[in-house]
Amino acid sequence: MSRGATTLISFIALVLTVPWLYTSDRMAIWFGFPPWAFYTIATTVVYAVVLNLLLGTQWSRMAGGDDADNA
Amino acid sequence: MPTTPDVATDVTDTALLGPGGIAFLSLYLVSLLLVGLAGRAVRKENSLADFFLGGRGMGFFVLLLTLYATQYSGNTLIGFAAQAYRQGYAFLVSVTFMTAVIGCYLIFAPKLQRLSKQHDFITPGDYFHFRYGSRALAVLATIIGIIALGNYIVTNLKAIGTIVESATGHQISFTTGVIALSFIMVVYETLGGLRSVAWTDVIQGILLMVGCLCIFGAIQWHYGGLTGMAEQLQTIKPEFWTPPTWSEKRTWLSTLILVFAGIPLYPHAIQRIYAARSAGTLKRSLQFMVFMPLATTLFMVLVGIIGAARFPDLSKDQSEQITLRLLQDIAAHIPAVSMLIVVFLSAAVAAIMSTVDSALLSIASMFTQDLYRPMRSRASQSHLTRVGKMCSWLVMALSTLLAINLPQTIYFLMEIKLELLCQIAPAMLLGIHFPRLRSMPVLCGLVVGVVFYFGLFFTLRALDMPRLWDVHSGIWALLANLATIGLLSWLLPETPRTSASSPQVASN
Repeated sequence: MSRGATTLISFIALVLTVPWLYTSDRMAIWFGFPPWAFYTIATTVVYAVVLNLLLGTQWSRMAGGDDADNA
Repeated sequence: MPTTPDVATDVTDTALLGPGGIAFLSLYLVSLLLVGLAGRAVRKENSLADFFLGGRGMGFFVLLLTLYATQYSGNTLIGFAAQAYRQGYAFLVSVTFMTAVIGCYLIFAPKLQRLSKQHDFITPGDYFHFRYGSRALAVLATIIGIIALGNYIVTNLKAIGTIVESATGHQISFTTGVIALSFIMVVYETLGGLRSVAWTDVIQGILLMVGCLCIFGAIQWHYGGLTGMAEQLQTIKPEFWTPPTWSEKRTWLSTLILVFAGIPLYPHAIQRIYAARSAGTLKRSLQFMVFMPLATTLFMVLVGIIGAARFPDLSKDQSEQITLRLLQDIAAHIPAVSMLIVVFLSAAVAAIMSTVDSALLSIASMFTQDLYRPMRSRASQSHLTRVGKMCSWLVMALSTLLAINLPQTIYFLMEIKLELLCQIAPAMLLGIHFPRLRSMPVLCGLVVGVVFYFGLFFTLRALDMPRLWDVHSGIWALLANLATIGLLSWLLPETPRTSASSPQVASN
């Protein structure tokens, strides 16, 4: 994956954490939260997992060098 | 098992800590001085790299906890719960923005860490000078960093004075509290430099983590958790259930970008990248750090929301102490929980101290390396280290003075941190991955960004408008900054770099 793609994926995952699509006043309760708040928490967890994976797999590519100093 | 709310009780009027609590806090403060002495004892050499970067040998555990303790200040424990009390679930944005900080590190930390090892960087200014070969750009970035960190120190010292005054029921005054804790911080910092600061961060980080977990656990257990509170909240605070409007969503995204581009650019955060023992150590620490907002920020936001259900009618000032109110409410039924108040106050003091000491050390390093050293190129490492220590004492004395005496009329200037700091982001994020980017467009972009920010900031303040189109002034300035870089990069002809203009950085 290129550095640009890595940056783009992480940024898209960040932008998706905003509850863009929730507009109506639904009084439902999802695990103790309003649906849009639950969405934000769930997408933030996904964002954290994505970042964790990208850090783990794309580090040396983002460093622009070989993997020697990762040891 | 909710009982009648006791909102009339003002938690600031009575001592929050008994003799046992004060003894615990005193023991903690003494331990910091001992850690400072230990840091001095294991010093390897009298050099800037050893003093300001702990000899670049920070392992996983210390690096993780120093990153954690530095990124999460007293505001996490006190301010976040209070904001959540007032804003409700909308303040979940804080959980995302603290995660986004690691997202920004992903873009620049891997390469910056590699370069810092190869070229012995000590300050962010070293990188900017190396990358762009421009002393003016390095100095401007340094001055912005010093202003942001200086403001950070002053606001945190004010907070710590207030906590000490409240905790002791005014037996120790605000002024005495600020002076005493400032003195302790500057002593252990000048004894062992970053090594001492990082080791104290370990204690402070553990206190903060344990504090958050215990407080959240106790409040969840006592009040039946959010699921139990949800229906009650729907009745008391139906506005919490309303999704953000489009204008609020714009502010939400603006906040995310502001923190994304601001917090990772704090000089003391960048210096922790330099201080990592290896790339692998830094990588593993950041992989762990990415989940910390879910175990720290989210917990404190939920504490604030539970507080809104339990004590729904607090004023803004009263809501600042919502966590304490909840703990006191529980302790009234279960006396053993009063120990948690000690943990909370200790964690809050620890969180603030860990932030202030790091900021102080960072300012001293930037003054010495970026401003003083270029004027005294033949100065020895021991002389420069001595200058750094003297600078720490001077900065702390000045900050203490400002924290005690700063008039309220200009206190708003202390709030200027992230919006100014994020103007450095293009120089770092673009510079690290675009080798053809030159110094002139970046320098002009930075100047335009800073001028634009201050212009918009004071204009909106005069018009009594919080934001333009619900977007932070810092983000508008960042756009102006980026537009300037793009335009000048396109307009100015590219000149081949000669050996004379090749970027250099002093060996440390």
